[in-house]
Amino acid sequence: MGLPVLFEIDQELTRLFVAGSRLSTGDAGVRKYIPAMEKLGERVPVFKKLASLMKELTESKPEESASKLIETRCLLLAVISTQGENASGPNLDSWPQGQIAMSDTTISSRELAKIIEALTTSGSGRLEIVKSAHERHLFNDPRTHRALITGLGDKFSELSDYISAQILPTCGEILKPHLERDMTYDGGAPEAKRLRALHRIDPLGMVDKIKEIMISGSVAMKEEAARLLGNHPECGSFLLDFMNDKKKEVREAVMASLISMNNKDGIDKILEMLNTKKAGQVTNPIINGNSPYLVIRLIEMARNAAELIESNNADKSVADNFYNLVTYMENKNSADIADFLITCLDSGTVKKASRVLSEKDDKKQTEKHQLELTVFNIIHYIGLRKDYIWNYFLNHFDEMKSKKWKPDTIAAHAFEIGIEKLGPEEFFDTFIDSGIYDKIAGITSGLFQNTFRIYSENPVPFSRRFASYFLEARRSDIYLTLATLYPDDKETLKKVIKVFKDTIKSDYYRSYVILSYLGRNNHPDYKDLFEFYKEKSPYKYYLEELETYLPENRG
Amino acid sequence: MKITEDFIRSVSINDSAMKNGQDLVKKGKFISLSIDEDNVFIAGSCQGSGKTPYTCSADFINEESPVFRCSCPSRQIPCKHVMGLLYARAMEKSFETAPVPDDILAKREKKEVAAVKKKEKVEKLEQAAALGPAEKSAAWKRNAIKKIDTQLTGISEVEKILVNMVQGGLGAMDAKTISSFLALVKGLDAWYIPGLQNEMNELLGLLKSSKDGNWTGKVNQICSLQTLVSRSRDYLEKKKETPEVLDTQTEIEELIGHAWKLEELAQHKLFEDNVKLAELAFHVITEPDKQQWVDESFCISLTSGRVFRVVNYRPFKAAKYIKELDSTQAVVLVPRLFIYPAQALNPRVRWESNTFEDLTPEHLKIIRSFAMSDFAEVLKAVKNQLKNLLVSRNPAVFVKCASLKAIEDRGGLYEARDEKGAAITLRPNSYSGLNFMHLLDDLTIDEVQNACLLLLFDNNVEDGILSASVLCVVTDTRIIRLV
Repeated sequence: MGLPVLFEIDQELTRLFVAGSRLSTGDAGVRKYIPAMEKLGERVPVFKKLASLMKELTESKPEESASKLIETRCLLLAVISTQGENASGPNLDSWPQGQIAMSDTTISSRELAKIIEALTTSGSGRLEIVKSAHERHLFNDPRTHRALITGLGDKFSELSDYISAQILPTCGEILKPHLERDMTYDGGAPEAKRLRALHRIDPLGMVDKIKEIMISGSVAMKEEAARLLGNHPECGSFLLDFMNDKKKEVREAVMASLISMNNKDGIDKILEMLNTKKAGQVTNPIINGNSPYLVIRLIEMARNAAELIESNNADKSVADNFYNLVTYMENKNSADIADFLITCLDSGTVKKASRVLSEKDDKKQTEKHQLELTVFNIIHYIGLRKDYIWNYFLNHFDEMKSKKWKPDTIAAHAFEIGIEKLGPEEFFDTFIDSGIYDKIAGITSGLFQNTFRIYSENPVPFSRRFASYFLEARRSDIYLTLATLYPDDKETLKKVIKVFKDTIKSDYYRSYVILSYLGRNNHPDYKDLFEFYKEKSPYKYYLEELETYLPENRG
Repeated sequence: MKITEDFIRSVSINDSAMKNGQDLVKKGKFISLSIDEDNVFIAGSCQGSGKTPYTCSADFINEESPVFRCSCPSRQIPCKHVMGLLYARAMEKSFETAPVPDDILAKREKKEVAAVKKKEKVEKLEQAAALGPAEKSAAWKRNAIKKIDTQLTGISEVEKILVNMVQGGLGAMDAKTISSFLALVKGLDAWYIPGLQNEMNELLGLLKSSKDGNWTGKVNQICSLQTLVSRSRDYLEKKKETPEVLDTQTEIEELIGHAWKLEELAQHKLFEDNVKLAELAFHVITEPDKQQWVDESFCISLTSGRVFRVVNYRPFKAAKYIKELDSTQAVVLVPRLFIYPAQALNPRVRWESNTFEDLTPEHLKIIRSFAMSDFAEVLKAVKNQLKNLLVSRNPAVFVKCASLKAIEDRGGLYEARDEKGAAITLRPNSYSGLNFMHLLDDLTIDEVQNACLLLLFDNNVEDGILSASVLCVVTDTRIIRLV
């Protein structure tokens, strides 16, 4: 006889422990098992003893019942403890599965517990623990791997991204079966990260699975799969079939991949859609994508439109089309695009197109008046035709001084180019005094820093008059740069502190940057400003760092 | 003297102390740092919250047992200031050269004198051990018997309390009833039975805190207590004939409440000399009912093949002041290994000093040679232990498999068999804390063949399965830890 009956008797006895042993006398629940135990007792003496105790229990007086009950249960427990059997079942085929020996399990127990807690619970400071463990190569220990995979789904995206991008690729092939094992095609963002990690470990080996996911996966999985297939040009024709997927995220990912792999059929199809009702579906991929064939086609299409404009045969739709094609040329970093746009500027095409656009009664006209400036921006950021912009600036300088034109973009580009060409002082004498820089908003702190290479090893020296001029230039983010350069300038510091207080709720990063600067430079009012920040800022992420600048915490 | 992160971790009480120490260095709290010319003594002055900085030091004159000192009021040793000092050294901060202060030199002398005295004491004990327990006077024996009678009275009181509980029913015990029982148990202070008293407190704590309707654990505890009552009574009655004799074969003395001193273990020759121990598994168990953590390490003796337990108890309330143990990959060389009396398969051990050596394939060969290959004998020994309600319900045994197979992979269910076909079911059990049995799936075929496993047994009454959790796999080349 196996264990089940003994377990049932145990349950009856436990019931009496809970209810009180006085109820044992005559208890039917125990009594019903006595005959069975007596029968067993004919072969096994301990069951006979157990039956005898059970009988005594059910016949006991209330005052004896407790000791009887305990005695019976003790014997039963001793018997049950030796009755355990093996589990049974058919053995799995293809086991074990290790193809290569796993790494050593060398992390200390305390360290391991700390890492696993960081990966599987919530709370602050976990990213630091994980990063430190990664730097010490602790994730070679296979005992960390399951927790790592759990961490892929962590709500704190910085942690899950760090695991996906930095740690998993270093764990190597050994992690692949673990990652694959529980992956589902219908998962969300964490599953997509798992897929990405798998692809990093074994790009070619994963292609077939990724294709399966394209067919039957969830939206998140398909989007990731489409993105990953962009690394496999041989999958171009497979991807084409998914250009019309119902989901926008999937479509855009497919198109982005077709563009990145320079797939001509795909790019042609995408550009064809520009002239249909589906134009809206393709604009993002075209704007964000970049490939040689895309550039060729965009120039070709823009040239066709330009020819119509130049021959005065263009209506609004052609001008619109030209404008759109120009905006698609941003972020392509192509010398061919720069040259094409310069041709359009020189031939007057751009001006003509602007005129056609501005003739129409359209609320979007304001943007399209910026066609020329958009063209300049593209040329400038490609960075290969600076002389053209500089010459344009010089040729139109008098026109810019007039109040009709707000020359933000061109003047800003010229600032950077001119200081490089002429040197700061000559540029100031020639152009700053002209007053055109009074009215533009284009001189940002970033432009200022880049132009003068302020934080580099070879900064460009410039006179104090630049600082005085730009303090009045109404760009508040330039104050911090100037405060760095002129730390004793009280006016500058006052303005910096004002910006800090004014933006503490709207721009937490700026207020942190300013306060951090003041702290590192031992501003006398730092403690008060820190308390102000602590009270007013809704964002507490930087508090720990800012606290270290307090006078009492400084070494 | 090279201070590394590993060394700092080995001496720190817990991770918080390490982090606090690091933070002190990062925040620049150390006003001064110094080191002596011999590079064995470092000191620092650390700004605290008060006006006067704290002076801390680490003395490595005896490299095997460094001495840490600090003027701060913390009872934690080493405190965060000392941890910070060690980190400053590890991070290669600038240390000025300065002589060892006079007071430290005086303390070193004192320590040397104390060490000599301790050695003399140990030698005296060894001499006494050679002679056996000292003859006791008649007066001593009379007092001892009186104490035993007091203990027996206490045991009867415990029995009465148990009977009262069971008569009234555990389900009827409300907070007020439990409080009155707790007061009764507190009254057991006078009866020299702290072991039983602790068990009673644990039972009442269990009844007080756990309202989940899971009665099995509580009833088991009552049965264990009653078994202890009966055995203690029998033992003490017999002991009255020779009260000077302690039971050195079983746990009974300790269960009643005797705390074995190392000197006593020495007197009764409960030690082995020059033992090499290899740690096979280490885990930390949380016992919320006892309000404590338990650091438990399973080590195998390379001399005898016995699997011992090294245990460190850390009550929640005092955890801050008690050093956490940690796992070690090295072989531990123990000049004298003290073994606590036990019937259990894995007696508790302790030692005062040790050195380390790297684990080598030669060590692994020796370890593997001790693995038990007859599973029928293994199961017999395990069931024998399980029958005894007074010892651990989770014995550990080191076995050698002829075959190892999976019934459900990913840490589900496996089966080990010996050459005769006898089987042991393998599956994780809740006793072993963090468990990584799923890594068995990643073993290569070579590693699985003739695998030697450290198994931790557990008898699950509910599903009737006696199974074991695999704590480690020992191959020819390494120990693969699964906890």
